Amino acid sequence: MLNITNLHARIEGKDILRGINLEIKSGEIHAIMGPNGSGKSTLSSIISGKEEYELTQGSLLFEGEDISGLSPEERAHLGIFLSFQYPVEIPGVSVTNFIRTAVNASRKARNLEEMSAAQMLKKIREKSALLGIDKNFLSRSLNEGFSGGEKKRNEVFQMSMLEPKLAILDETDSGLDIDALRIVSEGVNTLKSSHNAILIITHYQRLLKYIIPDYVHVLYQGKIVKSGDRELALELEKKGYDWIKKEVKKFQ
Amino acid sequence: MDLKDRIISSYIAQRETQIPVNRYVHQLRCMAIDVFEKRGFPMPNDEEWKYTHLMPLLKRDYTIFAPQKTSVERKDIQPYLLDDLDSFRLVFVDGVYSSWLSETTHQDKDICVLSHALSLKKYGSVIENYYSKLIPNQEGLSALNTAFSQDGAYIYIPEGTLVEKPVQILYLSTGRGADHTLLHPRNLMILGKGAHLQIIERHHALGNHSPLSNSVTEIYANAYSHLEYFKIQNDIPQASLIDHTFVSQDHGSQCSIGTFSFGGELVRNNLHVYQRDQEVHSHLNGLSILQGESLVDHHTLMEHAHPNGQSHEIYKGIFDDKSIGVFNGKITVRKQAQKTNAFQQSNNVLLSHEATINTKPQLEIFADDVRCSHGCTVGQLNQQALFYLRSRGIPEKQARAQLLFAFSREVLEHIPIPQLKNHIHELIGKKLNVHFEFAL
Repeated sequence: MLNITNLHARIEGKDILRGINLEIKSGEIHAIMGPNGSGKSTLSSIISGKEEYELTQGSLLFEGEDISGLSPEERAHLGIFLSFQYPVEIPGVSVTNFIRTAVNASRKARNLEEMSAAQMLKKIREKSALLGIDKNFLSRSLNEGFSGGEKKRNEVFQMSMLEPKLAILDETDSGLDIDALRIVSEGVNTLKSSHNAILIITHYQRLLKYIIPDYVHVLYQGKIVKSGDRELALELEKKGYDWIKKEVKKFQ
Repeated sequence: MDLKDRIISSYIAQRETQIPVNRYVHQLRCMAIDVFEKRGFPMPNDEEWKYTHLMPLLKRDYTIFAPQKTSVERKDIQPYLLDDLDSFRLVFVDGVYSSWLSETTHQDKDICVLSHALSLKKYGSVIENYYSKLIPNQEGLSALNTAFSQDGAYIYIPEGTLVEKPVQILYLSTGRGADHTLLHPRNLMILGKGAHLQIIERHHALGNHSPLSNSVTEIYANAYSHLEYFKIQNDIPQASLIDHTFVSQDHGSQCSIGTFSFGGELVRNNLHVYQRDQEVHSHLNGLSILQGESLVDHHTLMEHAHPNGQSHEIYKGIFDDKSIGVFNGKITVRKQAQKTNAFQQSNNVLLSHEATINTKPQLEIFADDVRCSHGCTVGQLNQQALFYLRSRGIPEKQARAQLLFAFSREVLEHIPIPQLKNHIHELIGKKLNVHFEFAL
């Protein structure tokens, strides 16, 4: 589904990614871990099409198509979704109206008919129940005055409504208490199928207790320096990132 | 001969031959033309006109007295009135009242044409008590209006009367027979004790000429009255408007004035609100969305002269292309105006490198137990927010419009007439070139 080969990227003349290789297939869950400043969030922004970054080398393919020149909205229409680490507050637009516009924008781009209000409401009800979201929440302004947990829950709610092929969860666990973490994870697990894939970006492994990754990668200094299965996450939890840093140093 | 000289000589030549007015008004006009002769038009060295230069406009060859008796069809004015709104209407064409396009009343209130009030004896005492009392003594432009004004809206709402429908005031210019016309609309509104009134005012040029309207409005809000006044400024790119609005508020009255500026070559709003007694509330709101080379200048003066007054000002501006915005918000709190609560905010977004905003809060506080706060911001569209919306599949153009709309929202909340609110939303949609799918 997603094929990243030798990807290099920079912002304002500073190299952030220095040769990323990553392949994600349908049905897989990947986790990217790494210390602060290793390039994790940059990678998620680049996959979603944030324009500030300059790709200097390598390729970025989604379902075999080069998406490096596509706008963020075009990538969304193809089925890429990014759950933001810091969702933006948009006063004056209710969660419901926002999601309705977003869903229909993607349907329009895919030459599908717009969803009727009744269908939309049904789906909203279904998905919000899944995530334990109450009705009042849906009529509030998008992210305005939301707690950290509410913002993250709202991100996953949007994901459930948009049904992306590839969902990137950028630090979705930060700001969540244990209960919210469990609900959000259960929601994500319910949405998971053999037709979609999930890329989890995280600093800690606690989310990975609930959403079990097939692969774990460690990103450091703009490169994937180690890959493994979920055991790697547990090891990182125990030992911290220092041993990785040391190992990298040894190689250099 | 420059414009000022031409104005004075044509005043002498023609003014006196026109419709007879009462002695009081006649005297006012004579004094006013003297003031104009002395003061003339504001020059760029005038601090109050530092960023808004009239010189290019004044070089045009204006017709001093617009050709009269131009006829306009009902369908021509429809786009400029809220047609689905049950309302009183006062329509003026090239400075002249059009009775057949208007809908007025004299029943328990007077909503009619000002020249009528100025010339009839029965209005004599009202005119002598109120007309031209609020305008500053030595100001050239408002004096010019007093000297030349003919028709305008005259609204007198007696004590305790609630006007059951809004009043729409429309000033049209046709440009027939003149490329550049000078117009002097003049309104006088008096709200009796406890009266309630809603006004929607608009100036619009039909066709391709470039009018300059020098408009004056005087408003008296007596005790416990409530006024809601909305100005729609969406004129063609070569039309200019200088608006002077003076509001005098008595005990416990509430006035809210919303100015929506989306077009025109040069628009200057001088808004002076004077709280002449205690417990007065004033709301001043403005939204400017400009493109091309439009200039909109808001000069507000909020004057607190008595205790326990409140004022709330929010002006928002979105400037694209080479457009220019000016905001000068002055708040004066006099010594006896204790417990005043004054708030002022000016927020601006620049969408182009060539757009300009000059914003200046100006607070003069002489009382010691008051709360006054102000703030102004100038920024660009939030790129992270834009990326957020786009990453959800919302096309860039729509995402930008949505963010700008969210930015404007605070000002739009204060519109109590649904038809007007819809109309302004439509104008914003047109201005930003999108159709909003969000329920607004």
